[in-house]
Amino acid sequence: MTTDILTVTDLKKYFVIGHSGLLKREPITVKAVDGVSFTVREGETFGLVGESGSGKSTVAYTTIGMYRPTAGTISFRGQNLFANKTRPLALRKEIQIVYQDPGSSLNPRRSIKEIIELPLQIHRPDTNRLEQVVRLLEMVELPPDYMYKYPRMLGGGEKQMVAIARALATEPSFVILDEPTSALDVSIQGKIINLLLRLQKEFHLSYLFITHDLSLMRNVASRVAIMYLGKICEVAETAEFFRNPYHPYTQMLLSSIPVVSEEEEKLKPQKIISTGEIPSPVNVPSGCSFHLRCPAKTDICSRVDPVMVEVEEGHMVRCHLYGQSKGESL
Amino acid sequence: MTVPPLIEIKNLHVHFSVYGGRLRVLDGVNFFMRSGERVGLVGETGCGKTTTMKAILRVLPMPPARIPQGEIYFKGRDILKMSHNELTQVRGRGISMIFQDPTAALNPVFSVGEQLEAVIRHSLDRDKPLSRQEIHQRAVASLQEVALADPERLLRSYPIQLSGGMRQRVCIGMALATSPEVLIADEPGTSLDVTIQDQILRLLRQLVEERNTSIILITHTLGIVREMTDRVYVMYAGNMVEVAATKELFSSPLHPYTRGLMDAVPRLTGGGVSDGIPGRIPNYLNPPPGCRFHPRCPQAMDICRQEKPPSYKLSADHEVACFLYRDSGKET
Repeated sequence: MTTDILTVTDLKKYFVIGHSGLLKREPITVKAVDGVSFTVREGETFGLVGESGSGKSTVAYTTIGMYRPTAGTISFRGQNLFANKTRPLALRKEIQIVYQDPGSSLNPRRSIKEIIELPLQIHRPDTNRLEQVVRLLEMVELPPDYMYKYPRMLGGGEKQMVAIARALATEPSFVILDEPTSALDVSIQGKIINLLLRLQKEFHLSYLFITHDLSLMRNVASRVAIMYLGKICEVAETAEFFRNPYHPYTQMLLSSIPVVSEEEEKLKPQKIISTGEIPSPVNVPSGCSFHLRCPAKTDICSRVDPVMVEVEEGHMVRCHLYGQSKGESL
Repeated sequence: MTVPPLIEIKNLHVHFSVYGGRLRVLDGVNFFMRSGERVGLVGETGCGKTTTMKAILRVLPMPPARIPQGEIYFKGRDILKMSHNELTQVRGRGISMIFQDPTAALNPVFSVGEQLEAVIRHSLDRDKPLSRQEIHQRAVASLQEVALADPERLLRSYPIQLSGGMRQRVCIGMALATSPEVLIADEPGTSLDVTIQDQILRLLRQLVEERNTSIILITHTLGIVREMTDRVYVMYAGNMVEVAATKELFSSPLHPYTRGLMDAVPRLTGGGVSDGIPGRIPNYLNPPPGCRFHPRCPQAMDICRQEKPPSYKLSADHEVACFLYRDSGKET
């Protein structure tokens, strides 16, 4: 039996972006994340997919502790991450992050050695730092003499490897990967992905993998969740997810992917074509937030927000199409 | 054949002078397209795709750019030797371009209408001017064509009031408003979300088909090329390494770079990701001698380190610049 490492329950994160009303006292809020629940199991790669503005990065940043949630909880191995005002060091050590753009996540004025040393100084002050830096560089397949280089001397892929080494310096058990390869070329992407998968096996890491690339997700995640305007629409095991997408938005996303072979073409839902644009998260449509673009919408969709139902074992969908028939009997 | 190709590039070299030396970016690029063709140009960041296209329109900043060698023909006339007036005729009515980032392509301080009408006005013949109203009508028509609702209101709005997808539609409308013979689309969907990208590409394909416009589609996404083009050029470090009919390229890629690139694309069918191509794109200050791909090539031979491979013609439409095919193809 696998155990859960991270449990997100009804997470909400609203940002106040201004005020309206006569006395400017009515806050205008962006509901970046609006009631998201999911669990990540020990040792798995949980994929979070969504287009820009869907709130996937906000989920990541709240987990790492950059934001405090407006409502809801995140617990790590049963421990509430927001129980204290500041997060204890021991918890920070366990959860690390790799950002999308290594060009801006590495300090250009620090050498690679200084960059990797910093988390060591804070979290593992008793270790021999030089030795550890060499070991971490070896772990990400970079030669030891790279520690005297500066970020600008490295290629995009190498910089991302340094960012991975830095994240692993604290010996975490949970790593958030926020679009770790989308700033890189496809010929370099594979190396980073395979390195991440190897490290996961070696150190029994759990990943929260965020991307907008569904083809990539198919190859790395064990389970996938789709986000749209701050909410999750569908969660399923990866193979099942791509074989049997239920939510109209998932189908639209899949049909929009450019693919390189006939076999892949057959996997794409043919009937559905992409229409409309993502509404602004300041003005989320009433009812189901997808109803303006949905080809299968009915009257109820514009009035009532659907709830998550389990359509097959482990396959959850939040859509009225499946609410009454299959969902209610469960 | 008496009809010259629509666009033909012969042995084009482009260098950039920078602090510390000369970047030899384009290293003898050859390219041609026939009228009505949809041609793809694929390659990774920094391989010279955009530089090549900017050279065609002569919009490269010179200096620092320099073209020490090469010819670019548009319908048989050398663009590099044209006067400013001739060039203005080619830009817009001959060749139009859509850029990757529609936010940067539109001027934020002018309304959509002012920008679109200026483009239409500049493309007119001197002796056949249109009234202000006629120009306005044309602007409205070109926005309708890219499926934008309420064009009158849009013409009065500023780029910041539009979404990314709408901005790119405006750019497409602007590029086609002058009825060009060739449309160069430089990564038209890359900065957009995948569902929006799909809409933009479908619109582009439909418009190009309706008007029989020739199109050069630049992208780093192989899937887009497969869906949108008839023939593909693969570019690496300032060289065209392979060209083939799209179907043939995807069924039998020949150049080790093309193969590596195809393998590196994650598939929807699953099965893991390949390791990709080792190493990275060379430094243009000091590019490797011989074939520029040899330091990353799994099949590199001695000759690759010394000589630059010529293009070998394997069939009517399939050429590959690699010594592996020395014996099976004819040198061009």
